[in-house]
Amino acid sequence: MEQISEILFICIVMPMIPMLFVLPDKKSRLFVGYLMVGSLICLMAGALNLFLLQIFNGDMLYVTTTITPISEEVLKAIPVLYLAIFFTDDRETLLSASFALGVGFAILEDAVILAQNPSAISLGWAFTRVVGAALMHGACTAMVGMGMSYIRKRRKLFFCGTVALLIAAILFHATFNVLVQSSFRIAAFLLPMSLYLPVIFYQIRQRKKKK
Amino acid sequence: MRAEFWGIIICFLKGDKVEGFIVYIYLAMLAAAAVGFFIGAVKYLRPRKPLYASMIVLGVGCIMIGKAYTILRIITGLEIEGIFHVGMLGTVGAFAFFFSANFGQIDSLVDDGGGTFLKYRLISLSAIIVTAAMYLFILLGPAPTAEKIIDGVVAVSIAAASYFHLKHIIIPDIDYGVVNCLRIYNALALAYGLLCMLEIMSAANGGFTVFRVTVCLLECVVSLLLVPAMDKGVQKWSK
Repeated sequence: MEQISEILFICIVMPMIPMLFVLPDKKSRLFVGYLMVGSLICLMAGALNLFLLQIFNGDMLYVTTTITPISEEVLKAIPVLYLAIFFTDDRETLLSASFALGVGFAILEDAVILAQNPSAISLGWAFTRVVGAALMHGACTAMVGMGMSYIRKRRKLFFCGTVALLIAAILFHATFNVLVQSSFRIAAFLLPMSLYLPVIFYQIRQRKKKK
Repeated sequence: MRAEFWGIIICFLKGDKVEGFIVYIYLAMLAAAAVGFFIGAVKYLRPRKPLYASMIVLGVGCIMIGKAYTILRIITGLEIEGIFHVGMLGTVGAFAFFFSANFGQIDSLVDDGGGTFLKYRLISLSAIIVTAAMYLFILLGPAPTAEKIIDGVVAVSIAAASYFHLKHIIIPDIDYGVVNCLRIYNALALAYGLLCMLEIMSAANGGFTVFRVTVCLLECVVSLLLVPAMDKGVQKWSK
């Protein structure tokens, strides 16, 4: 099956389109919309990564540890930048939309890996993908989204701040990719957690304070 | 393991080229940046804290992840010299954050762009000239073209940030006193940029030498001190 990514995209993402028209509030629509955009970005990144793999003579290890973190993070940042520049600088909106985008990306990526190599898949694989790659994609994009809410209004900060945030996300993603392929695989799953858990604890504390 | 550790150090001191030694040096650099980052993260990576301080902490975080990535590349048997790898972006990211913090947050407090401070702006250009001169040395060296291009990107980020570091060391700050409080941090960040350039220079001109080790160890010390120096300055100005 040559068009497996496209088929999976249609199967997973298309059913969400009618849901967009049913959802009553704007925030839910934005969240689901960005989940779909994340999957679309994954589809585009897949095609781009294949092209990049050809350019680097099929050196899979080099491409996955050095090139794909850059291409994927740049592609994922575009919709977040679009949202931040034209629509909102609200921290919670940017954080949830960018996290949804990252998760949408990870959902399609997982599905494609699963469909391409079903014999190597197990429950353990599924859990490690959730704790590792899915959380990493979500955390990296959320990092950019969260940062954007701070720098969006400051004209002097906007360009250089965006570049700095993107580099931080690329570094995080690339470190995860190298860890996954090294003998320190367990650390790869702790890495996204180290970014995710403090944010979650902080959010829970803030919600309790508000109550 | 212990014997292997000392064996590598003795071989290195005798002048033998030992690639394994690089890991220890990078580990020291990672540890120094990690200590600085975690001290700063606990205090400044939360809302209602000065954005300037958060950006410096994130910059040191970039140094930390960059070094971690480089160590992992060495451990997994991947090349780190003569090719582009993401570890280099650690330095670029750090200086992008340092530049953003100084240019976007602080600079307009001390410089209105008028003729009064032209003298300081011109003197600060010397930071860019020095970085460019060091890069010229790399360009004329035996390094492969790809490495020279990548070093150029790193040099640009260092030059841009160094301009503001030097400017904020020398410029008088009468109205707000914010830059006055940050002079030590700016001096350290300027020194860090210089050390990074020296490291790139020595790497581009041949292997792992005693000079390069010394530069890396100095980098360790400076990256460890960056956040505490900034913290001291921020506390002074917020009093």
